[in-house]
Amino acid sequence: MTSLAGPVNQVLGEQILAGERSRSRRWRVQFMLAWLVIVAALVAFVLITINLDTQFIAKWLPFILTGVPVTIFVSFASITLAVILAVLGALGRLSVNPYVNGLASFYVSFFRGTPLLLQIVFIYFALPQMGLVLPEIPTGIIALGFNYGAYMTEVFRSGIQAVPHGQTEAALSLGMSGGTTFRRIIVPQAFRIVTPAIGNDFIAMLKDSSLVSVISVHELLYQAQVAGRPNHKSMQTLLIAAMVYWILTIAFSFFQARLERRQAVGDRSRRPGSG
Amino acid sequence: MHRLASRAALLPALVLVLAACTGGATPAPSVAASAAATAPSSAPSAAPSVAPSIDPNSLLGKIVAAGKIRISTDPNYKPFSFQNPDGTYDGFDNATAVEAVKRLGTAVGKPIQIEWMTPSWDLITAGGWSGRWDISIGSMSVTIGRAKVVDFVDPYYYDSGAVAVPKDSTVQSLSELNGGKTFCVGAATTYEQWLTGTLEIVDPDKLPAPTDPQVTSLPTDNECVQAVQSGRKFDAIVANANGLADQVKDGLPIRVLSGPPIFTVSVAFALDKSGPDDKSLIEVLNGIVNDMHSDGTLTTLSNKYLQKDVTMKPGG
Amino acid sequence: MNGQGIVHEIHPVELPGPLVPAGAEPIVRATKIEKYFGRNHVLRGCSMTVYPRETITILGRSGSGKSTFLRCLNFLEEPSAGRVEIDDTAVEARPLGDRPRAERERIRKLRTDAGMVFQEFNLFPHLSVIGNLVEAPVHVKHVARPAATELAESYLEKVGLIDKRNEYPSRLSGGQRQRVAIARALTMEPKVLLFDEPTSALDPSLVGEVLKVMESLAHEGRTMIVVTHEMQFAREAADRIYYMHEGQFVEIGPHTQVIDDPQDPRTREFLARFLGPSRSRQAAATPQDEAVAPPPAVGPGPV
Repeated sequence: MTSLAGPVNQVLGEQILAGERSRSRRWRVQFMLAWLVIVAALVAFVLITINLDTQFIAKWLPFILTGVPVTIFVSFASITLAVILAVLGALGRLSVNPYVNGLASFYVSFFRGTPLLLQIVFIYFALPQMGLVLPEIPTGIIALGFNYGAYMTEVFRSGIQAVPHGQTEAALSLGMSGGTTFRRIIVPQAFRIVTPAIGNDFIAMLKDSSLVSVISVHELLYQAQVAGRPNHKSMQTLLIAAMVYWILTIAFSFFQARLERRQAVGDRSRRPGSG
Repeated sequence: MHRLASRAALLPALVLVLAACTGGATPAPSVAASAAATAPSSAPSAAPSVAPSIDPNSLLGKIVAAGKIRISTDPNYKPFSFQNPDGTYDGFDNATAVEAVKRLGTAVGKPIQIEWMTPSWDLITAGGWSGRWDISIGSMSVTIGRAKVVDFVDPYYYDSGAVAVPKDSTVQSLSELNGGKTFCVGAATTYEQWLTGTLEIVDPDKLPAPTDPQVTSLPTDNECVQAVQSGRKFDAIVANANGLADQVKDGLPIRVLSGPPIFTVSVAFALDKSGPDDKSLIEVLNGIVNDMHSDGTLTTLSNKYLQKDVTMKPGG
Repeated sequence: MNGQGIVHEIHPVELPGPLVPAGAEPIVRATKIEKYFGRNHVLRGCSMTVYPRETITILGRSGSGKSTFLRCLNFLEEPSAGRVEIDDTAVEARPLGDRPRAERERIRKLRTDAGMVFQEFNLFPHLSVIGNLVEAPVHVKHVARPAATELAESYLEKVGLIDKRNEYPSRLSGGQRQRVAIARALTMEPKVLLFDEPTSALDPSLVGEVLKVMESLAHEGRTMIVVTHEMQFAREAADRIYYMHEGQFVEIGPHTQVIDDPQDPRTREFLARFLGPSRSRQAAATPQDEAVAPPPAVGPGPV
């Protein structure tokens, strides 16, 4: 306390801090530079190789963009359905009831074990056979929701299992019922664990939603193809679609990062406990 | 042809029955005159409306009840089917469909709306539509295989296949493409079937496919042309002769091989065999299509979109 | 259905402690608790009687079964046989088959009457300190949130952490976390507090603050059952000490007997290892003991 904490050390501390700051600033600049260079190269490549027809693009852009709300709606609705199914599925997979567990594990096995495109077509034609004629968009949402729900069931299950058993014991020892424990203690913690995975799945969903175009849903990629093919300019219209998908993904990633940061409040366990 | 003839022969009878049942004043299509070559029909040209006699459980009955017909099309096939920037459907197939449905509305005494559906082409040709759409008016070639799962209306035009090669290719004739050459075709098309030897059509002049073809199937014919344009190497593309001609006109780097068509096939509206009873609808549509042949409507549309008349049976 | 064939017998040394009101009935009766883990017989007929306002300490080597016994008291562990009665709520072991709904509700009642403090704290990380405290009163006892908050604050005051009211558990030290856990148990106003090695996971420098809170609770007459290795706490706070060896209470009595003058050779052996050879009468430790030595974190207790 006496001999070590002299003014010299204080100066050294300031120098170390300043060094760290400038290093991290430099790192950020270099990081941005890497992006900039790649994007510039990409743009240059596109301009050189694909003879961009601005007149054509201006004429068809509104047509292509009509697919954007469809893509967004289908993706949001499907991920919502998937989350609901995943919660139910995870509950089922954790259930001690053999029938419930059997049903849930069959669901996961079937929908993970067969191709999504096949499921979309199958549900499209199978539902009317059962007397349920839903329009194309709801049909697509059901197919995507069930498929992603199966994958997310396993994510949710592992999320629930990742909550330490001590949490359940603490809740039970306070007299909480199994249901209250699950709702109030386990789910909020499990949800935080799986949020990054849900975000990841949603980004994948944005793009997999293009598969429902086979059943006459006019989403972004479909619109781009219909605009491009008959005019022999598929590359240009697909490029537009790619940019839109990319922008959507970046926008969503941004919101997801904010959500995760907010959730992280109170979970900074790396801070050593003292004082 | 045999089927076609028998269907056409039924027509006058149907019209007479319908006429007897109704007394409406709405003009009906003149389901008559020189429809099919084999159909000696001579129905009255001012037949009254047919509406009230329709079985409500039949496909026609359902369409009339809904006031709407769901037509599947694939707007990736310019000039037969494509979309305009404002989203409207255009092309030879779609214009034909619009006119046919207009006449259908007149026949049943109730305007019928069109709802366009765009499922994948392979889903359309596979049949078993589960009532998702009512009819395919989208350049479906009549093949024996397809006739097992769908019912065809009388042909509205005749299609022929052609082979195109890259512009810089030295190939001049089909025989030079034997022995393991690479081909690009649209998936689930008759051209793919021709190449792979699974095409079953009634055409005595069908040419034999090249031997040992290495086939690449892309989602539509159009991808093949664009693939060549972008520098992919295929020895040849097999596609619809009219479509290829259109693409040559658009300046794409391909050349169509001269010579007779590789095969010629009738093209017709198709209805799902596993769907509701479609006999009455087919009878009415046969009449309408034959009318559109005889009054020159189809020829006009063909000239407008294809700059030539494809509605006459070759050699027939 | 209670008590059929299982009769609770009070051990001759289980006499009410000095703080127990005259004529008070026992508040905890654990009767002939048996527990198997598979074929492993870990509890062999353990009985215990606790009167209101008493503090009980259970000593024993790691793996002797003392934590399992404590967890059987609130059915976090299902006993294989026996019966637990806490403040007139009695539940019998039902190792096979499902419990009827009414019995599950009784277990819940039993748990609300028995607050538990865990070795690993088990605070809810997604809730603030105050949130941890009010969660159960609001959602189990349906206390209005303002009332529950007021109660919670009074207990936070008691454990000296009112200034951490809005912190999240991850921002607290181990000692603070355990004190919050104690306050959380207290906010349910249980009839008895169960402590499962509450200081074993703590940095030695943080043990003191937790023991201090526990001692003050003992002195104000909270009924407590404490599984611990802290000899000092047992000596100063416990009315009675139960020494457990291989699933049985082999010696029961006040600290003057069990710690200072153990009668059972197994107790003597344990204390000899624990307190050092100088304090022991028979310093012989068998090789078997080596395998189950007390955790190093505890060290040679603060005697």
